[in-house]
Amino acid sequence: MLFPTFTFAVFFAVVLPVSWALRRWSVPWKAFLVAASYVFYAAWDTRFISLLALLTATSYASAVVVDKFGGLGDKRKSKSDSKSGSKSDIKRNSKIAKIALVLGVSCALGVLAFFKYYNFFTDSLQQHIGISSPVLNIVLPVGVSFFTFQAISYMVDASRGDVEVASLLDVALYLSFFPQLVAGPIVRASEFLPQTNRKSPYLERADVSRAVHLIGAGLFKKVVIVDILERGIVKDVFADPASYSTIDVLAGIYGYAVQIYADFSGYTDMAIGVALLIGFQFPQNFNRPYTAVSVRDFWRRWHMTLSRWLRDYLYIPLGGSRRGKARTYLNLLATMVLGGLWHGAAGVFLVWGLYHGLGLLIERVSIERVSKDVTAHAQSQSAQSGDVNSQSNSESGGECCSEPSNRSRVLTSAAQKFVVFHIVCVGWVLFNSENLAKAGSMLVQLVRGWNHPTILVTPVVVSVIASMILLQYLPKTATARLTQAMSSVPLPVVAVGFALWLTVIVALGSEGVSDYIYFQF
Amino acid sequence: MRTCDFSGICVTRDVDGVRVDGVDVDGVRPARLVAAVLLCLCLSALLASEKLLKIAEREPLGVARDRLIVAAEINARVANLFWLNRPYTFLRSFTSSDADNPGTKIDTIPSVPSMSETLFNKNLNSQNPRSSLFNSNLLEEDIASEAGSGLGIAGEAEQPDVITTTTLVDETLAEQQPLVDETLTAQHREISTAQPYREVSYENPLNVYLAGDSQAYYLGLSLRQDEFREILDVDVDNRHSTGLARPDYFNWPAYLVDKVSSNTPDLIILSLGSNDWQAVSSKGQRYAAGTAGWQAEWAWRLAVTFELLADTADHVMWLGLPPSSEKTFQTGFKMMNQIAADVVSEFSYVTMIDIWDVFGGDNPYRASLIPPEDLISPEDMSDKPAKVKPVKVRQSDGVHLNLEGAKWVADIVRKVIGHHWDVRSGKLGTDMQSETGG
Repeated sequence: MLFPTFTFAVFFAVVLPVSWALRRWSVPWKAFLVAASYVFYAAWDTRFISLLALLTATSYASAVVVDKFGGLGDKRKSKSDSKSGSKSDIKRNSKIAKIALVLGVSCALGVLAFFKYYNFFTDSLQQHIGISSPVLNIVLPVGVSFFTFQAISYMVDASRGDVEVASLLDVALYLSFFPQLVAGPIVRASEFLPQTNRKSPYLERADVSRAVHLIGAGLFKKVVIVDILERGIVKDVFADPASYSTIDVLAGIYGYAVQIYADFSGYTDMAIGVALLIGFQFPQNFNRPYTAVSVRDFWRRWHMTLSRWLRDYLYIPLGGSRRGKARTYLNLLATMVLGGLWHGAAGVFLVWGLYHGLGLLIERVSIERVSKDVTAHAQSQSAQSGDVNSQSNSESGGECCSEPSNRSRVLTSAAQKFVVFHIVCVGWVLFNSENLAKAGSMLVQLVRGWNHPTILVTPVVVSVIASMILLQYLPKTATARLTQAMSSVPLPVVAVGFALWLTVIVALGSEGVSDYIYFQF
Repeated sequence: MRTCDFSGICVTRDVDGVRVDGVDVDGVRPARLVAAVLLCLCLSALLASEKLLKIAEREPLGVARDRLIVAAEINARVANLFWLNRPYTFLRSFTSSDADNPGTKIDTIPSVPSMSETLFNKNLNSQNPRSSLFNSNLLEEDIASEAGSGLGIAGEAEQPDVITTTTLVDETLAEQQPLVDETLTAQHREISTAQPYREVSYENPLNVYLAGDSQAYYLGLSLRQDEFREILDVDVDNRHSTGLARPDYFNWPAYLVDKVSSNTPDLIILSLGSNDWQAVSSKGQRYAAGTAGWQAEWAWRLAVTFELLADTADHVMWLGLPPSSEKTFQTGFKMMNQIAADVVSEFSYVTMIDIWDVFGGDNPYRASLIPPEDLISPEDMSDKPAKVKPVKVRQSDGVHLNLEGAKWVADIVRKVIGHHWDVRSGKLGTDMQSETGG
């Protein structure tokens, strides 16, 4: 069931009033939302309901056992230490808790590995080594990468004591809640579970203005923008780059950058908006990613909930930056490579992750070197200057410490944004190509394609790409003001206005809605 | 009371509602919210009533669809009464393209029903063609067990003057005929060779019209690859989610007649069927996919399509379906290939390109396959057999071929073209001349 469909509209028209009507009774309300979420998921494939239920049960059981044996985090240890008696008991309990957590996390990872990576590994073995393994026609359950990550988040948070052990119903709702079930955002248990509490302000009143803004923008991005770019340029260029001109290929790459942003951020906008209408607040998932001034900055703006998941549950447990430079670099690369593989079971995703990992690494090394040089320069200056500080400063040292002019700061920032955007675009070429050879031929065509006539670049395509990129440069206050202005409009007028907006989207969109790119992840 | 949540948004709760810091939004009470959402949805339904009717019509055939259509029609009437459908129609008039044109209804072409009756009476037997085309007791298992032996149509049918090519469904028949093309796979052996239609060269390229569903997209790209571009002028017309099963959604036969009457190609390639494994409706009857009625109806529609194209091009190619990862489709596609092979054998100007075995046939589904021998370079084959590795030929959905898979199909198509036309230029011409010793 896709958000921009008639089926979802009917589903939501039933779920919304019933959900608000039941909200005073906690258990029936949660049970209803779980049931609705399972119906939502079953619309894709009824077989995988049991998978979701199994993952819920194992996550719940793991957290309960870990809790019973005192947990693992520092917060939990201090609690359990005061309760339990002998040291050997504490050690034994801690061991059991660890085993329960490992089993729970392994179960979640096992589900992910089997459904997502079995075919990849067997195909790779057959392709590269010639080893033939049994063929299993495994269908990838929609959203499996998202709900397994949430399950891991819950088990780890519960073991650390960051979140209270929840009831089975709460865990079921957390893992299956339909707005974020199939493509995120990846909501943490510590963010979601407190909201199932009747005291949550969002369960009394809904932030309609923000919801309308998010759903309206998300729908437009998904139904209109993605469609124009997909059919207008991206599909053709990526399918057969050798047949197109440099300009076509370049526009195809920019087009894909905009398309994947519109597709994924459009979905999460709708997810956040729909959740708001039901009374839940989700974290932001995109923050104008193409205005990033560094690769690191990009990952703080793109799929933010995945970035922080990787940071908190992979990078930091691996040691983060606490174990020396070499280990930090290795952790960085490992995190990004695994992050790349999370996006899809294919070599190109692995290379894409490695590419971004290397980008982060090079950036980090450069920053460290520059800051080292600046510190050394400053130290030598202060040593040289001694008592005649003021004089030398005016002659040479002043250069180092003077503030860059406003103009040069703007130019530097613009150059950084330009470079980072293009680094990201090269990454998207890898991401959307079937294999490395295809990605290579795409990049080569940027140089070779000058002789081909430009046939795909149309005014519509150019204006869509340009406006979507420029919109990211709108100040944040502009959207806040829009939301604020909308909140002062009477609700019936908002409803009529939104209905008209939906009509425009339906009329501008093509027949049917294409699948979301991120559904396969 | 002021509280800040995890995302840094601070909320102030007071008697009048929820105020979000920085955004300063008033919260809305649930009852008003629900009323507003329902108002919005109802109004949207009226404003986009035309679209809703289309959505209802495209649902799988069944009681649910019938009810949905009734509801959508009532909704459309109400919208029309109050002129609420005008904004949508107005906007649509700017954005509609030829792609939205589903073609004339097949039954509105007067010659079609009578022509089809004549066709079957002539070629098959004197009984009701729709019921006698296939044995009504023929089930899927029977189809599977009879694969390779055919359904007996070719034997019963009046032999056309020149059978140019046919899919090999009857081994006995094939053995009696000279096999001209050894380079084609076993599924594309020719029964007899036709005279080349005309000379094809750089100066006079072959006009190819490739029509079909989403499978046609990559095939079109493959046929347009550089090395063949000069001699094949390919016009690709692919429409997603279309087929012969649902003329109410997109009427291919009627559309094709319209399309090729204005611009006559030399060759028409049809790549349809991937979306046809669903119920069909005919003369008030509904047939579930795979039933005897469904088989007869689908075969009839295919025959009608070929008949309509009789005088529009020199030749027509029907592209068979590849195996699928989904068991249901696997059974269905195999059955449809069998039906298509039998129908094709009745038309002298139609060739079927059967790619079933090329893409793994009845073996367990794999996304990567070893290329067919004639696609492997001689160097790889003779010197370094280890070089011949499986290549990914399928898309992740388990139904569509990717560009590499489509290239395999294009290669077969080009070979068949080479047997029908006198190709004088380019790689295809060189290939043909070397094969014939010219």
